[in-house]
Amino acid sequence: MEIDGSKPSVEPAPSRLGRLLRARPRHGEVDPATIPTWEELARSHDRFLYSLAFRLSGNHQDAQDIVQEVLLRVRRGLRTYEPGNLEGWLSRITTNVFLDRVRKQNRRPTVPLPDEPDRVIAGSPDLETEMASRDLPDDLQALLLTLPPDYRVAVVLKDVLSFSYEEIAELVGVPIGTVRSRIHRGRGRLREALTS
Amino acid sequence: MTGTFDEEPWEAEIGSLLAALPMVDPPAGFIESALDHRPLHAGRILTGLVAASLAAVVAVVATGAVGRSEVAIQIDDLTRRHETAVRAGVLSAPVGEVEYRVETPVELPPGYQRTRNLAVEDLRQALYARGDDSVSVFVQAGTLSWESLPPEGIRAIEGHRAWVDPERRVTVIETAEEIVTIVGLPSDDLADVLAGLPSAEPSFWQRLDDTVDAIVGQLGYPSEG
Repeated sequence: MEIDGSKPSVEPAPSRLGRLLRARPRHGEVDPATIPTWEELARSHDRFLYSLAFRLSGNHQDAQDIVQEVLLRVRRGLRTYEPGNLEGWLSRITTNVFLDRVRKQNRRPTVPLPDEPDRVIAGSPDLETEMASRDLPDDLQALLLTLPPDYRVAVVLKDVLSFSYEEIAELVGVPIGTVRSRIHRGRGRLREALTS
Repeated sequence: MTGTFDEEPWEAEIGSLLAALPMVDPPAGFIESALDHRPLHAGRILTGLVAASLAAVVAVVATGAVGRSEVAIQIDDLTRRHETAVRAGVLSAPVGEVEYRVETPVELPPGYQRTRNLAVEDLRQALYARGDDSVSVFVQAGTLSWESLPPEGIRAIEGHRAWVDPERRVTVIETAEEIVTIVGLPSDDLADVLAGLPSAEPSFWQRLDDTVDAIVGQLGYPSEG
C-alpha cells in the first residue's frame, strides 16, 4: 500500500462518539470572549475527557487519575490558551498525561517506532465473520490495550474521536506519515488479534 | 499534504468497529469532586505551631493556582499539616480536608509507599510512609516570598533558590513555576526520594530531576547518626 498524502480520499464517517461531540463546537474556533472557565470546561467536556482517558487506559481507576491530572493542567493552561481547537487542545493534554504515565510506569527506554509506510498488512476474508462472533466492544477495548501506547493514541484519536490525520499529527507532534503508519499498524494488529 | 489517505477495506472495518465504541461516563460526582478545589488564595496564612516531627515524613502539597502569585510558605503550618495527616492515619482525612486524586508516585525510594493524597481548598498533599516513618512533599504554584523565611536558611542551588532547615527536616525549593516543600524527610533518604520523584510536564518534577544531583549535593543535611 502506498502511503501518499497527495492522494485525497474521503474521510470515513465520524464515529459515534465523534458525532455526539460535534453537537458541540467540536474542532471549532472559540471566540476569545467565550473561552470557558476551568469549571465550565470540566463540566461541558467531562464525557469527552473521560471517554478518551478510558479508551487509552482501559480502566476507570487510571481514567480518573488521568482526567484529574488533565484538569489540573487545563486550569494552569487556560490563562495562556489561545482560542482555537479546544478539543484538540484537551486531547493533546490528555494524551500527554497518558503517555507520561506510561513512561513512568515502564521506567525503561522507549523504542522508536519504525516508520515503514510501505509495509502492507494483508487482508483477510474472515474478518467480518470473526468480529461477528466476538463480544464487542469489551473485546475491542481489551485489544486496544495490547497496542503500543503510541499506536493506541493514534488509533483512538482517529477512529474513536474522528480526528483527521493532520490534526493527530499536530496533537501528537509527529509527521503525518508517522501518524498514518501508526494507525495502519495499530489497526493491523487489532485485525490480526480479532482474526486469530 | 491533505491529511487523508487511501485505506485498505479491512482498515475501514476496524475503524468502523472502533467508531462504534460508546462514550464512557465518569463516575457520579467525579467531576464535581475535582472541582471542589478552588483557586488558591496565595499566601493565605496558615496558623498553628507544631513541634518538629520525630517521624520521618514526606508531604507533597500541590496547588493548582493559575497565577504566579507570591506565596509565603508557612513552615509551621505545613509541619502541622504533615503531623495531622500522619496522626489521622489512613482511615479518615483530617477535618476540613478531602481525599484528592492526583497523579503522584505510588512509591518513592527507598521504600516509601504513598498512603494518601489530601487537599484543603487548593492545597494538595500526598503522604508517604515507610514503616513507622512518613514523608510529605508540598508543591504550590507561584513565586516564593523569600522574606517570609529566615534568611540564614537560603541557599543557591544550580540556579534554583532553596531554603533549608535541617533540624526540622524542611526543604523549600523554588523552580520556574512552583514551590516545593518537603517536610520531615530523613537526610539519609533525601537523595533517594528526590531521585524517585517523577518527571511530568509541565510541572516542576522534570526540572527537579534535572538538578537533583546538585541539590542533594548542596543541601548539606547533617548525618542522622
